[in-house]
Amino acid sequence: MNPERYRKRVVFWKGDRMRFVGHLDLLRVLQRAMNRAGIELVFSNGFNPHPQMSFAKPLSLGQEGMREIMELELASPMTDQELIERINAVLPPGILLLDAADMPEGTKSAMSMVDLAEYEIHLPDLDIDYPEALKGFLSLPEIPIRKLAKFHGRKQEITVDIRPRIRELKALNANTFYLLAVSTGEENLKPDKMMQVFWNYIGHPEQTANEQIVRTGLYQCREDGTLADMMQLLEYQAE
Amino acid sequence: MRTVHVPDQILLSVDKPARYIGGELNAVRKNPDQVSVRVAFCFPDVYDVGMSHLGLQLLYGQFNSMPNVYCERVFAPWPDMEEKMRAHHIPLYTLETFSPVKDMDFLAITLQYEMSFTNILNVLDLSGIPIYAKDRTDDDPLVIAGGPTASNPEVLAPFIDFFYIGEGEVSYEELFNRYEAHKKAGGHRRDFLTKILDLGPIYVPAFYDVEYEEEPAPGAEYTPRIRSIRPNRPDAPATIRKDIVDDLEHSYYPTKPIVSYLQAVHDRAVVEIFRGCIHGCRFCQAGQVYKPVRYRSKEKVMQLCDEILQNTGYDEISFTSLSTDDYPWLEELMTEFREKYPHVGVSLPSLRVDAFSLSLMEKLAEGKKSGLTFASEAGTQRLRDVINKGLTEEDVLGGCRLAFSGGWDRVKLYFMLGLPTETEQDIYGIAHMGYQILDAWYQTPQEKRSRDVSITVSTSFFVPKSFSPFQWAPQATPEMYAEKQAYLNGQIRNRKIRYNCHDSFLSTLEGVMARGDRRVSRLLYTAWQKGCRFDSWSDHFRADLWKESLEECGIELAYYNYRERQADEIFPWDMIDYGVSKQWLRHEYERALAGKPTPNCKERCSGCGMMKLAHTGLCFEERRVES
Ligand code: SF4
Repeated sequence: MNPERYRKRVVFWKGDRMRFVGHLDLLRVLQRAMNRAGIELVFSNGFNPHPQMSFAKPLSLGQEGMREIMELELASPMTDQELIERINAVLPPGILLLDAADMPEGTKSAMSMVDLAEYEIHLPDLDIDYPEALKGFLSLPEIPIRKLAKFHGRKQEITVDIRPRIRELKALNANTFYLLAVSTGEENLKPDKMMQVFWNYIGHPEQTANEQIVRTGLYQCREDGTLADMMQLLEYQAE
Repeated sequence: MRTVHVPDQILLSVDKPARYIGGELNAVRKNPDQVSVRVAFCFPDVYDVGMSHLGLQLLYGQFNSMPNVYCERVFAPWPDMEEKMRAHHIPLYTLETFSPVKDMDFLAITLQYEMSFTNILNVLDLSGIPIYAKDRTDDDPLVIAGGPTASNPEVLAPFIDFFYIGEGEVSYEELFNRYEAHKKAGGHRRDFLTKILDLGPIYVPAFYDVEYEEEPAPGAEYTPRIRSIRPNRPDAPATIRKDIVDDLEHSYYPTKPIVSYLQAVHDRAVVEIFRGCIHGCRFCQAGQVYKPVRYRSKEKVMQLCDEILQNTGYDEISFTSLSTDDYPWLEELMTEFREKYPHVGVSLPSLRVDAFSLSLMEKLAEGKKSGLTFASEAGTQRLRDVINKGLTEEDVLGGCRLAFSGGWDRVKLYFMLGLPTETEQDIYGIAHMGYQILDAWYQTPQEKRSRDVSITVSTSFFVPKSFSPFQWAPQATPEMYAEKQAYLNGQIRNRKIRYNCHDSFLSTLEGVMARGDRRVSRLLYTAWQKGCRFDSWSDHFRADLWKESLEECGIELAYYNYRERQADEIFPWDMIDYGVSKQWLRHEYERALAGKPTPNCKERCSGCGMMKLAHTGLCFEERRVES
C-alpha cells in the first residue's frame, strides 16, 4: 500500500519588487521560507535530492502574478489555514500565499493542466487611442514573431504566427488591455512579445517593455468551453 | 527625503535586475527621517559578490543596531546597469530606501582586494560625489574606507576622507555618536575629521604630509623613496593604531544576515569560528593584520548557528576562519552540529587532509566524495621553509594515499610562482608533486581506488603585500612570470594532470596598488577615466588601458615592484600600526632568505609585538613549550 501523501496546491501573489526575482531564485526564496517556518517538505529521491515543490507556470521577469500556482508535498499533514499562516509570517515582502487546498491521490499537476493564461496589460499614458489601435492590430490576419528554437539540438531563428494563440484580446478601458493567451507546454504566448509587435505596429517601437503586465489567472478550458482555475479544478474533481 | 526612481523598463533591460532592487529578507527598514546618522555601506564590486561577504553583514547589522543610525547598502553596478544609469541620469542609490548616496552622512567603503579600486572611483562618480576628497563640500557624505586592504591606504589617500584601521566592531558607535553631536551643533564636515583623531584607528590622509628624497632609489631609474611621513597638525597622531576586538565571544555577530534573492557567490550561512591565524606564512597579509588569535567557544558557535539558521532558512552553513584545522573544538563542534542539523550542508574551507577530515568531509558531503584541496604554495621543502608554510610533502602525499584508498578521485593543488629565492628546481618541484600524487594513485590497489583520477595544479603569482614579512621582497616582472609559467607548463605532460594559471599583468598591477604610495593615485584616476572597472573580472579587465595609464603617469614598475626594498626604507604605510613590529617583520624576512622556519604562535611565541596591542587571545594563553 502507498503511504499517505500530503500534497497541497497553493495560490500566491507575486508582485512589487519580487517581480524582478526570477523563477529559480523564487524557488530558493520559498524553500528558505519553509525552513524558517519549520515546515518539512518531502525530498525527491535520486542523486541530488531536492524538496518537492513545483510551479504551474513560471512568470516572466517584471510581471506581477495575482493568482500564481505552486504545489508542495509536505512531510506531515497540516491544515490549509495553518500552512498559509505559517509561511506568510516569514515571507519577505512581495509574495503572499492566498489560498491552499489538498490534492487527493492521483491529482494531476497544475503544470500539466493549465492551457490558458489571463493577463491585464497596463499601458503608459501616451497620446494614443489604444482601443482604436487594438482594432487594427486584431484585424491583422497574421502576427509573426521571430524567436529562437531548437532544431535537432541546434538553435535557429524561426518565425511563428502568434495570432492563433490570442484567444481573446480587448480593451478594458482607455489604458488597459485584457488578454487570454494560449499557454500550454507546446504553445505559449508571451504577452511581452505580443506587445513588442503591437508597439511596432502602431509606430511606437521605443515604447517596447514600457507596459506593465499582470497575470491575473491560470486556467483550463473545459469541454463545455468554460474556464476553470486550478482551485476550481480540485473542486470539480471532488464532485 | 529624496528618492531615486528606476523605471521597470531599465531594470528589465539589464542582467539580473534583482541586484538593484533591495527589499530582501532581513534587510533593515527604518524611517530615515527618524535617525540622525545615515550611512551607505559600499562593497565596491557587483551585488552577488558583495552580498557573500561576512564583513558587510557584520557592519551592516552592527550599525543598524544603533538606534540613531540607519545603514543602507550600495554596490558597484555592473557595466550594463552603469550604462543605463548614466544615459538616464540616475544617480547611484541605496538599496534600502532608494536614496541618492550623495544624501548620506557617510559613504563607508570596504576594501577587500586592490583590483576593486577603480570601482570605488566609479561609485563616487555615479553618486555625484567629487572623486578627490579636497573637492568635496558640506553637501557630500564623508567617505570612509576600511577593511584588510586599508593596510596600505596610500594609493587611495586623495580619494578618501578618512580610513578606519582594524576591526570595525570597536569604535564606530562612538564615531557616529560624535557625528550626531557635531551635526546637531551645525559643524562642518572638515571640522568633524579633527574630532575623531583621538579615537585611535582613524587615518585622515589630508592631515599627513609625505616628502620624497631627491635622488632616485637604488634599483630605480627616476623615482625617489619616501623621506618622511608626518602629521601636519598637532592633534593628528604620528601612528594610527588598529582597533582590536578584545572579547570576540561577546562581540556583535550578524545573526540576522540579509538573504539575497539572487544566488550570491557564497549563498549560505556563515559563522566565524575564530579570528586570526597562528601560522606566520611570510607572504600572507591577513595572517598579520588579523592577529591575535581569538576563539569563539563551541557553545557560542552553536548558539550563533541556531539563530542564523532560524533567521535565514539556509540549508548550508560555512564555518570560516583563516585556518579551520586550528580550531580547538572542531571535532566536537562537527559532531554536535551534525546531530542537531542532519539536513544542513556544511562547508569547511582549508581543511588539512587526514583520516579525521576525510571521514568528516565524506559525511558532510553525504557520501559524495568532493575534491581534496592542498595549498602547498611552493614546490620544494626548501622554498616552503622560506615562506614558512608548515605543510610537508608527506602531509600531501599521505593525505592523498589515504584518500585514494577510500575512492577519492580529485585533487587540487595551489601554488605561487615568483616567491623570493625561487629557482627552476622549485618550479620543477610543483610538477614533481603532481606526478608523485599520480604515482600514489597508481600504487593504490585497483580494487580500492577510483577508476580514474584528476589532478589540477593551479598557480597564482606571488604579490608582496604590506605588513607581511615579504613586504621588502622584489616582485617578478611579467616576463619572468610568463617564463616560469611556460616552464611549468612544459613540465606537466600527462592528461591526468591539468594546469591552470593566471594573467600575469593583473598581478603586476595588484603589486603596484598593494605597495604603492600617493604618487600612484594618479594612475588609478587615469585608468578609471579611460574606462577601467571591474578589473578582477577577466572579461572586463582592460590591460591595454592600464598600460597606457602606466605610461602616461610615469609609474616606474622597477621602483614599485621589481627592486628589493631597503632594510631601512620608509614604507608608505609606516604611520599605521597593526601591532606587529616592523623589526619583527624584517627579522622574519631575513630568516626567510636564510631558509629558516619560525614556529607558530601555539608552539612558541616569537615576539612579534602584538602583545602591546592585544589584551586577550592566544598571545596571553599558556602554550605548549616546544620539546
Ligand atoms: S605576540 Fe606571540 S603569540 Fe601573539 S601573535 Fe605575536 S608571535 Fe603570535
